[in-house]
Amino acid sequence: MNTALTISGIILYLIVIFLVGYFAWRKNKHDDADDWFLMGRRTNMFMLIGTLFATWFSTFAFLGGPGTFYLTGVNWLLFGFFNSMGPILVMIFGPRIWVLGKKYGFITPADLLARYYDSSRRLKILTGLVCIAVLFPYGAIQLSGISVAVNSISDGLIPYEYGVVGVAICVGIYAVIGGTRAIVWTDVIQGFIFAALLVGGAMAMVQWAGGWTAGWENAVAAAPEKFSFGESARPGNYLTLLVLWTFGWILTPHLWQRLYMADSPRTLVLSSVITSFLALFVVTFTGAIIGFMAIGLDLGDTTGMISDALVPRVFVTYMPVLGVVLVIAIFAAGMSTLDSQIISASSSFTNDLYGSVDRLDQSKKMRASRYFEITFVVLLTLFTLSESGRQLLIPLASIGVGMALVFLMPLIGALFWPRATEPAAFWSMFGGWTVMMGLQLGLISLPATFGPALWGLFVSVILFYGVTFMTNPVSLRSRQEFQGDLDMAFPETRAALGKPVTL
Amino acid sequence: MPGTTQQERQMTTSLTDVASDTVSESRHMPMLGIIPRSKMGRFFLGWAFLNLILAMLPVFDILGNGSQIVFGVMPMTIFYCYVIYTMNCVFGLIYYFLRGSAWSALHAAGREGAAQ
Repeated sequence: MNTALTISGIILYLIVIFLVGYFAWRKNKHDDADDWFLMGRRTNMFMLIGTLFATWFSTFAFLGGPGTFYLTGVNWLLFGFFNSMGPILVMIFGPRIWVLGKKYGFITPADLLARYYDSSRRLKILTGLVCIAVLFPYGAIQLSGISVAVNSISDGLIPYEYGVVGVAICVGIYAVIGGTRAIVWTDVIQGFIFAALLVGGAMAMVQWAGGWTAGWENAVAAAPEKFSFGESARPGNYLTLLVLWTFGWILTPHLWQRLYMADSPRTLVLSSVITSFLALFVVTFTGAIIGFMAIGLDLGDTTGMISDALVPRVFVTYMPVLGVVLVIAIFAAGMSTLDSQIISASSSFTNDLYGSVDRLDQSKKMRASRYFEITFVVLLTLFTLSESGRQLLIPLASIGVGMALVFLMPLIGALFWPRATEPAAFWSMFGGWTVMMGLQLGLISLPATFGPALWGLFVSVILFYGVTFMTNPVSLRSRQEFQGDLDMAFPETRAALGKPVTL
Repeated sequence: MPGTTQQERQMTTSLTDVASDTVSESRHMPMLGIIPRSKMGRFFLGWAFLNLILAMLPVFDILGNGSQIVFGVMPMTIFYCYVIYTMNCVFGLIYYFLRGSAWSALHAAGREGAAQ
């Protein structure tokens, strides 16, 4: 790869990103938490689609997705299911979350849950802790993923350690200076870059594979076992991943917060439909084409190749001149996820943890959030560089999104079930989380039919309903605010009451 | 309250039971918070589950599992799965027209009412 070209490309890309961060900083209302964390709840449709898309899809979608199709074949087809169904959940859960967020000024998931469950302090702290627990390993794996990929593509020109520190500094600077506005703006640019490269990559792959039909035929002839589910298929594992990644679209803290950001109901619901199509066809289908058709190509000896190495290998073999574009796309995909996670973790710390032990005014809150963002980035960097951190990274990151499943039952209670109680919400979250972590870290064992995340969800559901029927519902005021007052504002409850769904 | 007229607000008080301290289940909120009360709501829930089940069929080798190229387009399993996944998007589109856009219109009407 041309060294000068690669370094110039990275520098040019970073200049553009920093400029965007600078303009966002100028437009930001400083000392306004709504503006800092949620872009003032004025995100338009174009921006919302861009940020949903770029925040959800990380380096994994670009590198790991096609590579996993290549290595494991149809066992990774669920990638298409959860990315087409997940955004639809935005339209089902999102409207009530958006209305309540706007009405009561919620910034974090804990704000909403704690308020419904009678301003429960313990629930707020637990939700805040789970949010940070979800975001930390998930963020660390972005940092590590970008650095590993860039190191591999640059043939060792950019060492892993330099990559980690460099990316952390870049993301830290524009997140700390520009806040969510900078992140949403850069998400749009980054999302466009990486979507364009996926589509371009898929088109090029069809060409390199000898055309559409010949490409599939060659691939099937090379490894027919990768094109159908065989005896080694593990339905329980398949179902676990499918459930946790589908609900991850609304339950992971940084995605949940995007539901508060929309400037109007139309923006929210239409964005969810459009994102569903984009996610299915622009990301997962192109990834499937690249990964599956690569099976029929001659890529040399691929024994022991990891999934992230496929796309770089294909580009190096067939179009080395595009290596610089690939490096930029990897930066774009990883940074757009990591920056949202930093800001989201900061809001959880400031609002839910620090804010629960100390009454904060706006100015103190914003100062605390900036200090936390810097601390979070430093901790992420140290964790990613340490040997023990690297060993813990995979098990923790695997469960990362799964941990967010413990929010599901308390959220359903707050939005849709007036019988739900505060002890049920707290214990279902605590019990589900404990079981997931225990299973993941090998401290407890259950049949391996399902993964830790699904076992944790089962425990969470049982505890939620079990404890609910043994305890008293939340106060009348909470039920009226979250449900009764909104009866006539939503088509579903209007229909259930026998009213026309619109006025 | 967005999307609500004064008359409806009065009717809400008498029609709904969310705020009742004695009722353990509301008559219009989803059963156990999951199963909708309206027929349309149940139809959508059923459709979502159906898509999930259909997506799992190839894994159990019941339907749509095979490496042969179908219609000269692509291998069977990939073709089948992407047809089902496209149904997820279609589900979203229909949900948008029947529920999402109705909420958007209700909200707009509520704002106009409040402004007047």
